[in-house]
Amino acid sequence: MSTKIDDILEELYLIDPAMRDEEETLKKTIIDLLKSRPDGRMDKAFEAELKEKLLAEFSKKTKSGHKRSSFFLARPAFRIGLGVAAAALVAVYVAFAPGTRGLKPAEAIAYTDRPTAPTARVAQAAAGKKPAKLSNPSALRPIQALEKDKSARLSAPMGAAAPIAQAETEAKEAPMAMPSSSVAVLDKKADDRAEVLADRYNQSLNTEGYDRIVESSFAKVLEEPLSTFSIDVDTASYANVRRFLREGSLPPPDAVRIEELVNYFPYDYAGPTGPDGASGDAPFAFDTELSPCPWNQGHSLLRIALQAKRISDREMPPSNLVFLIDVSGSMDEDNKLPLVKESLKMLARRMRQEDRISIVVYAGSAGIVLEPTAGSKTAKILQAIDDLEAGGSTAGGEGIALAYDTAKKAFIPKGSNRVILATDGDFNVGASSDGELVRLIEEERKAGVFLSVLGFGMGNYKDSKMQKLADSGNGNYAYIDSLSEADKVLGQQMAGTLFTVAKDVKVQIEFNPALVGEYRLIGYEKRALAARDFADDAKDAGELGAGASVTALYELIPPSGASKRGDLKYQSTSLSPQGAAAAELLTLKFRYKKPDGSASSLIEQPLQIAPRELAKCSADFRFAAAVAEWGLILRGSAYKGGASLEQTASLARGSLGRDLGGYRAEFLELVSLSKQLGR
Amino acid sequence: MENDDQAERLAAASRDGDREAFSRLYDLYAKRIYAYLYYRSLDRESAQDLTSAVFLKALEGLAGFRPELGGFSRWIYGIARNALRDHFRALSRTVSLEGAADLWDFPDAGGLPAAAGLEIEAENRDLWERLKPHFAALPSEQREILILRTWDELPYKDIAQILGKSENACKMSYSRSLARLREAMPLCLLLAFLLASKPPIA
Repeated sequence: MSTKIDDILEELYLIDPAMRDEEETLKKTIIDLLKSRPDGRMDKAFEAELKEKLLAEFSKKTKSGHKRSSFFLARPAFRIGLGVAAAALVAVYVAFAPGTRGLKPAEAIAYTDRPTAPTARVAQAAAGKKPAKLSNPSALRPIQALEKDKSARLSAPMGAAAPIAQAETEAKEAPMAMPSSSVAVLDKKADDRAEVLADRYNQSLNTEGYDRIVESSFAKVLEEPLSTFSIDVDTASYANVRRFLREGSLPPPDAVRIEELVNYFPYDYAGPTGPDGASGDAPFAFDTELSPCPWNQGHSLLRIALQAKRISDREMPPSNLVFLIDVSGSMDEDNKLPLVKESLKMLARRMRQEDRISIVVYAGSAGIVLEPTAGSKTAKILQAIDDLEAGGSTAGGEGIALAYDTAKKAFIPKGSNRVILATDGDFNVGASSDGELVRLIEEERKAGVFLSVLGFGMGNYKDSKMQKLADSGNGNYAYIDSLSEADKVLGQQMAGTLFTVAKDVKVQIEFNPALVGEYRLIGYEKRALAARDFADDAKDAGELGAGASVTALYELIPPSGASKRGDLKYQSTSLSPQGAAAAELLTLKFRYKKPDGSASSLIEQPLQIAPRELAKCSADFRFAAAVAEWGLILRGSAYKGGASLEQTASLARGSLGRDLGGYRAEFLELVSLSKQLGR
Repeated sequence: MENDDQAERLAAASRDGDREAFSRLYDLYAKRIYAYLYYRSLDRESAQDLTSAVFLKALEGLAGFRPELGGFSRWIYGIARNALRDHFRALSRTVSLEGAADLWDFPDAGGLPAAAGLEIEAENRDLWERLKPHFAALPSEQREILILRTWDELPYKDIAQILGKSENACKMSYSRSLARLREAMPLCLLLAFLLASKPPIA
């Protein structure tokens, strides 16, 4: 301590030698000041977490010899731009690489193909266990202990988390000297800690933002006869889950939104038949199906399906699209800006004379790259997209404002006016809060400009924020991780992405307690509405794009025989004679608004639905059931019952149907991937 | 930097896929880079985010690291500086692409972290508030050297390498800024700054 003080004093005397006279006073002041200072030390838990994350990233980069050479060599050589000489050097390096590296690629594969392995190793080492117990799955269970961990972290960021991290670090680096205090830590309740550690590791691997999902539980029909929710046509969760699995890890449970998994797939539902058909002039048709629940014996599975009117490109109203593109530095990755460009080009090629396209970019600042331009000027639009480059930081708020201004400038009454935001979501809105941004988006929505969000990339992907933005803007939110996904969202389903046929679509089901004891809506946790919101036109709900379909699944428990709610003192709820006599399982109600309307229309239909054996149900039903079952497993749901990946796979295999686009076959592949990854 | 030879060897090994080498490289620099980012963002969360970003960038760009253009320290501190610049530009909502390049370049104190976000004892918060304008008044390079020397506690040799200047130039700049601060602020404030964020001394 004294050396430090002396150093400081010497430096002061250099400036003003007269201060030597006050040395004693100065020393005292320095000591006092030392007692209260900001702490610039790194949090140990954070240091260890980051290290794990980086090493995992490192392993990924070096997954195979081939990949490594392309990753570690190709980019810099051309970036440095030393021309022929550099290129020649690279060529030599590549040529030597396989021989000199010997066995390393194989080692690297071992790391990355079994991404849970480091977890187990860390946990096990911390617990002082022999590797034989490595396969114990309890060390890999991620949900329950996480809560403990979180609260520990919140209440005492250094105190509680540090010993864990310390144990983690030291366990990994056995040769390092181990302070006696941490030895004690390791001895005590090592098993618990191993679990927390494993969970912590699983959690800390990504900095992506997911809102916590609290699953809805079974509701008793006698107590809550109405189930109300907003439709959800988002599909982002599926694409995101797919990315996790392809990269060799299980998705965090909160990244799994079951309804988005189910709704990702195209289904062959019948559309509305027009003004004279059964669905009247509604812009969508609906359908129901009922069978025994595959994962819970004695329960039933109910499917409600909505199919929006399909329209061809030619029938589509003119579009005024503003691409709002994040070109900040973080987008400078292969799976980001280059993919954004290709995706937008795909869309641009389908634009017509009457459409308008503009491009606004934002990074450190926002600017217009392409003023509203007729959709027929394809070359000009493609050129503008090609010229985009990443660099700088992210001023998203400003970009959104500018994009809306541009959209309003080219506003097409009766057309589809929409801002399409393409970003990795690392979205900085400056001093304004997310709340302000949401308000802005809501206002513009009321003025007729909608917002769709296309998510790209990974690592700092902010899922919850993007979903919130798109929802506020009456838009859809899709995650694009590949060209084929871009083709799905912007090519095949372009009409659904860009053109809304009904907005604020709400579903309400009244179950008949004579036939249904309890029900549980699978997924849609973020879409649940209070029963009174159903008829409240001020309450926002989901939008239905042209040709889009929505599937909702309910798990039903048959009535126990009770016809009266028995736990209330002042009132009673009992089964009406009408209910008891009716063969109706439920009454299905929809509310929706026309895209430019502000008052809702109501569709109401009582339904008798006869259950069918699962094998006799439609392929669409069985496939949707398989996807939901998979989602329950991935979420580690409390309601997964007897769900298994084997059953999921066999259900899906038997219900591939026509599978245009190969999505269902891909699903099978993901199921087997998740099986390998151990859940 | 004394560690630079070692760092360069580790960087080269990492580039060849040696996981252990990369791990050691991280151990060598994590704390320093974090501290560097913390003293400039004065916000733990930002410092953590930025530290992650810097090391991920470093991992991405490892192949682009060329020792002959300056040592590893210079390279990685350069990444950290860029990350900070982006961070502050994002914070400032100015339309100009220039944006704020530094915490201190904000026109109004609103951009500076409120003392509440700092890990400072309550009684020192107003001290911090009083310190701010004096630092903001220094030319950015002098300020950078001052902070590298006092808060980051780096020897002149390292500072010289990070900034690509001579050791003597750094020393001169340091004493010049100290003198300037001495004139501008009360002695106890200057002391407070010099000591503000040292790791505890045993």
